[in-house]
Amino acid sequence: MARPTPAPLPGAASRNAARARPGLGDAALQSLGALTFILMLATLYLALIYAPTEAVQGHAQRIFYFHVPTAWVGFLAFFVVFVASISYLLRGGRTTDAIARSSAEIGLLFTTMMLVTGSLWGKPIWGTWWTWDPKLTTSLILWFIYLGYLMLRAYAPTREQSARYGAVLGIVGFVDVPIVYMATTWWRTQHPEAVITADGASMAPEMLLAFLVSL
Amino acid sequence: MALLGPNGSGKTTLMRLIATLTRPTFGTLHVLGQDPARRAREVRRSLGVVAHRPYLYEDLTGRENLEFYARLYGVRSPADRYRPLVEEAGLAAALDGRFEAIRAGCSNGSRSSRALLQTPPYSCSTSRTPGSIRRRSASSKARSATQPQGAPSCSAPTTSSLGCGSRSCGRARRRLNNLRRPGRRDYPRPTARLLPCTPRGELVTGFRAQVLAVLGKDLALEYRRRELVGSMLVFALVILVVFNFAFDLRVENARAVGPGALWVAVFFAGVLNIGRTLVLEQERGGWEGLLLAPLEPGALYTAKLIGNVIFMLLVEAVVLPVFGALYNLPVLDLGVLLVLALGTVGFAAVGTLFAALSANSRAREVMLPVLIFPILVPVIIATVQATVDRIEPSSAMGTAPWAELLLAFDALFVVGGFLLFDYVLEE
Repeated sequence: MARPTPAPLPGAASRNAARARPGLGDAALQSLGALTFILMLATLYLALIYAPTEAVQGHAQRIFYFHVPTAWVGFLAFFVVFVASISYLLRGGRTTDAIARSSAEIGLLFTTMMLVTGSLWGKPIWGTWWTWDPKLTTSLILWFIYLGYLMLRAYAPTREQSARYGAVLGIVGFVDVPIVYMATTWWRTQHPEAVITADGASMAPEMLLAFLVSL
Repeated sequence: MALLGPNGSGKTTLMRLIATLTRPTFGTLHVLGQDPARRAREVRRSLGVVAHRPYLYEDLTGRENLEFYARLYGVRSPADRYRPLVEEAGLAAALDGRFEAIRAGCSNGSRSSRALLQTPPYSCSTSRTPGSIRRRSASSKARSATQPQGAPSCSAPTTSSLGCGSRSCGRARRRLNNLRRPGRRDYPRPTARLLPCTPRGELVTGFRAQVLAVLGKDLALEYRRRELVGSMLVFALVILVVFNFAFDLRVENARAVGPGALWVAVFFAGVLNIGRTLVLEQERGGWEGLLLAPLEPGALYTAKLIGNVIFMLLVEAVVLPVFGALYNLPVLDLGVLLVLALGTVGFAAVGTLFAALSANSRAREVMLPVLIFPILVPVIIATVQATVDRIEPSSAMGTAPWAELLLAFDALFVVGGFLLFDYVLEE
């Protein structure tokens, strides 16, 4: 897209120095930001106005368009932390470590959003803010592992130790999450709770569009 | 050879780099032809290091300390090796007393004996005060008598053999040049580079020997101090009693809720103390001495894991019957004991690794529980549910294979800890 190049600002020298750090350049960041903003507006329109109202749950169902994508992003971010952690231990490098840490921060943010939107959705639909079913329990444990990761890194005495300890925790945490899910599922089948309404597997096409754009 | 410099010029950092305790942030270093970052074990095998702290365990005798390090380094007959060293240093009489009773002056001799056990071609020592330089010149003469011919007794590479370009190297270089004044014949001229070492044929480092050495040392220390097991035990018992007030554990509830109380007590007591072995090493013992030894990969983790499992099993051996008595539950059952053992191993596998992670962090006491409990959720669920299933043959729809889950968890995390522990240990 054609955009006028901005005139060099007084801080050009420091920005050039900043470009030497690992990460994207300013122009790339700006265009990504613009794209994200446009997509966010589209999502809001599609989710709140365009998609039809669901038959059983009513308007509260619209949280689904925010809740599930944030959950997926949260899990994906943890996977990225896992891969970056292995890569850091094997090869090292500040970029890899930066990817791991920033992915953990993103993951924590999105997992928090997932838990909050989930609770907001749960209260009108289920009548309760929280249940201890396997998915929710595993998500909560995942949230704690992320939080522990960031705390460990913040409290480590040197940057290099922070990177190394974080990598170890990233690997152990990710490997543990499926086991947590398995254990909580077995636990719940031994002590079954009230059945929850399942997410609709078949959605109307407009809802699917809204969901994908939101993702 | 001596390395001199003003405060903050990097002398100790340089020694730590050579001793493989730290990695360089930039630049390259070769010690005896090897890169310490990649070939740490080979370098460690060829070095003996005497530093500010003695790296000797205060609760062990001098003899036990020397034999421990000898076994770590794989020296074949330790007594033959350390006896002449100790006699040179004039410490033969003090060998059987606890190390903390030995005065500071004698501790220099013990330090040097420890560093020289494996007859390294090079030994490095750091010194803080100028006074100790004079004292050491007497012991240096003693040491050089025991060294193989042709090897200098105290050396450090000159700055010209390193790739560093910082100003502090320049200052150190100037100091070295100042030493070459006429009349000071006892200071050798700085060498241009370090000589490669000759292969050591007499050292036999084995994984099993090192694991047994560290494990034996930990058990001996605990037997002397009696700190860990006792405090864990009392804490667990107190929690069991507190649970009685926190939850209504009358007879009809006890079977369903009781096992939870038992396992909370065991795990909380474990969390409090699993980090202590490491902290005690750092405070009253030879933590860096362990790091300096040529440990096989995973040897230290295995030894610490087995030690922690043993301590926890000792505690559980008392807590379990007391629990059975307090809440009138039939817990002395083979199935429960199996679950107990598997759960303990899983707990210790994760705990040993995370204890090392949190030992160096700032909020150390609270970091360990925060990190460990989310990871241990499967173990907690499995142990409690399995215990409940054994105690109260359940009316629910079939039991899940908890013991198999614990076994898989244990296998996975013991292997994981084995692989990852050494990454945590590097300075």
